[in-house]
Amino acid sequence: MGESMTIWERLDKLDRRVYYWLLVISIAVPLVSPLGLPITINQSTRDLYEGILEVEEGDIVLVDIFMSVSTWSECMGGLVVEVNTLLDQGAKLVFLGNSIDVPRSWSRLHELAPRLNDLEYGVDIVFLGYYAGADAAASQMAVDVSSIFPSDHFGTPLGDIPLMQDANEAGDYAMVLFTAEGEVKWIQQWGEPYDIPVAGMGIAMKGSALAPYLASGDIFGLAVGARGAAELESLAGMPAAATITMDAISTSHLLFVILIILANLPIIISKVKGGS
Amino acid sequence: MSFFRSTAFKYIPVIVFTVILADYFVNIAGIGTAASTLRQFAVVISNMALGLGVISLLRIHTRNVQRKQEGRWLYSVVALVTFFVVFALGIINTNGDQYQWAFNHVYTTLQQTMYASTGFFIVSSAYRAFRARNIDAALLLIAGCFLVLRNAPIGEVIWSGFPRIGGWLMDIGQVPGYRTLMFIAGFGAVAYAYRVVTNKEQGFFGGAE
Amino acid sequence: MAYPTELWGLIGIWVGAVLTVAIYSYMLYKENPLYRLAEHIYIGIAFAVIAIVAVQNTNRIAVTPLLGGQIVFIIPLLLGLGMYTVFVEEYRWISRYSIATLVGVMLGVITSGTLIPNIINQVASTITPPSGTGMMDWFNFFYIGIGTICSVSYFLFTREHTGILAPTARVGRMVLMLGLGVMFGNTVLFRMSMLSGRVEYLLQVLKIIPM
Repeated sequence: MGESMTIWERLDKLDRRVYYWLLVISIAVPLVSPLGLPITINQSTRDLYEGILEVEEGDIVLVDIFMSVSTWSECMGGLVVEVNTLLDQGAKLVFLGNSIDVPRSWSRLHELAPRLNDLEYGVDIVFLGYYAGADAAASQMAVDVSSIFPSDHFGTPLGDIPLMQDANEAGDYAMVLFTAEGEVKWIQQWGEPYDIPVAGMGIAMKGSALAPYLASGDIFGLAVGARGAAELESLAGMPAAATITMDAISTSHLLFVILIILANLPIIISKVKGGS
Repeated sequence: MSFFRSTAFKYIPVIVFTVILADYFVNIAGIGTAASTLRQFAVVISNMALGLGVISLLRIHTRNVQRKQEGRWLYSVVALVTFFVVFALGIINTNGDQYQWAFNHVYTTLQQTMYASTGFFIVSSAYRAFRARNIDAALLLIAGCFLVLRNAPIGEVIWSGFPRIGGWLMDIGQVPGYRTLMFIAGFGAVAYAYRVVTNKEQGFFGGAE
Repeated sequence: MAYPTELWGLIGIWVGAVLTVAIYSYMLYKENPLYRLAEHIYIGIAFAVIAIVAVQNTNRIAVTPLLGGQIVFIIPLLLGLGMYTVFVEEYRWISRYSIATLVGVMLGVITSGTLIPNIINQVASTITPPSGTGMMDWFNFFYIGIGTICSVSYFLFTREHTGILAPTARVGRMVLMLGLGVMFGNTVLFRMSMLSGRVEYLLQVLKIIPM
């Protein structure tokens, strides 16, 4: 006859599919029935937003959509807010991306920020497309954008695009906004050598790697992950996809913390009792 | 010929590195032009190197089909057929309806789904793997939990301390650790560059001697 | 984006939903042929997209300028093609020229780019006193300063962690654990937000929530 298992042993041996289904339910329920929890704003997100508000009419801003389609739920909401705010400021926008599916992100951005369709392409907005080469490309673009992009994504030679006549090197740009994953090259190749203000959004995992740059002033603001995107939406008064996601984030995160506490309770109890 | 096979390429990183670095420190037209050209070359080579993974993939799956690897070869046929069909559609016309449909509905969906599947594993790890058996692990878990409850709006509802402490950890608490890692990365890059320039580092040549 | 009404749009979102469920059937149920099928469709289409981007971009940034008279682009094109000799044992040495060029450029760019933001600015930020006069500002300043010194001491592996190095390395390790804990917390957010995006998509396709 076997010994009966403690509750902790039962939980330990629980089929992991139970955790997976709990997770799915914890995400699905608040999406169907939102909780509407308030979101407080982090200072770094506020600094990012206020930095964008300092852009003046006619300023040219480089936006690096370095996010693949898989990080849309993290960063697309924040990018939409940044773009809408830049349009409010009257900025001219040059987009590019280091991800092979950047054309998809570009068309998704148009669906979520329809004001982009009202702009005159080539005069107010340009989409350069995909580039390879990371740091080498960023470094070269700082001296000559047309050497990396002889034409834009649609095949139009850069010499035929009016906006690009005034936006061919780092000094022509008022700001660089990065998205998701490719921030370091802009800090190192544009921000420091040419003193161009750099800021943007990072995927949540990048928040830690970017914190020292924020602390040293190499970037003027930072919104981190879906939370940062929701904070931007709140600041701009444009609640959208990221804000809706935060309720699901709340419940799934609570489940996560409960599981960690449950997993560590036996250890805590044994330590309190003086055991090993 | 053996000079070109075994030795000549070892001098290229030194020369190229020197030109690029010199361009950063001095403003001489000739060096600037050379550095600019070299950076463009690197971008073109990086772009063409994307195909290496594709070739590897095709070789693996073709081999599975040729050997009729049990349990695999039919799926390899699926992978190869999908590859060639989508590639043909894209090369003929990237803006065509068929390619756009495949890109928007199949590629986009699968890309998002594959990346998101890691969310499941982190939850099962929460119960099975994340145990605070010593002070260091406990610190890591406590900091992690504060961040988790700072990121989730429900944390503020439970206790107002979560966003405050979590915010401090985010803005200040983690800075020394990651600043140190940045020093290491920075000095490591310089040290690695020195080793490459002095021909002590040749691992990236694939064991060249 | 509104719920599609045209046939191919409808087929598209339902194909997407079926593929999503197929992938997650591995976690939520068990490994099955549907999962393997979806996985291999993903492999095929992902690499097809990569190949298309590589071809089109190479054409745009090198072939077109070459055909337009910029003869110098023959060099990177040949070096790029040389990368593919890595698959042929006898000619593998050719790929080393391509790799050598790439490594040289990347090292030069990264080394020059890393010096000021990664090292000098970080040191300056660590030793610069705060502009504010609040107690918290000074606490943060000393925490970052002492924490950074201790963390650096932890990574001094050429000396044994004894004497003065013992307590500083210990403190440094604890500070690193705090940082890693923060990254861990952010990783959870990253994973959960991606997964919630997929669950949201499925609920939208099923018309349980609006698209």
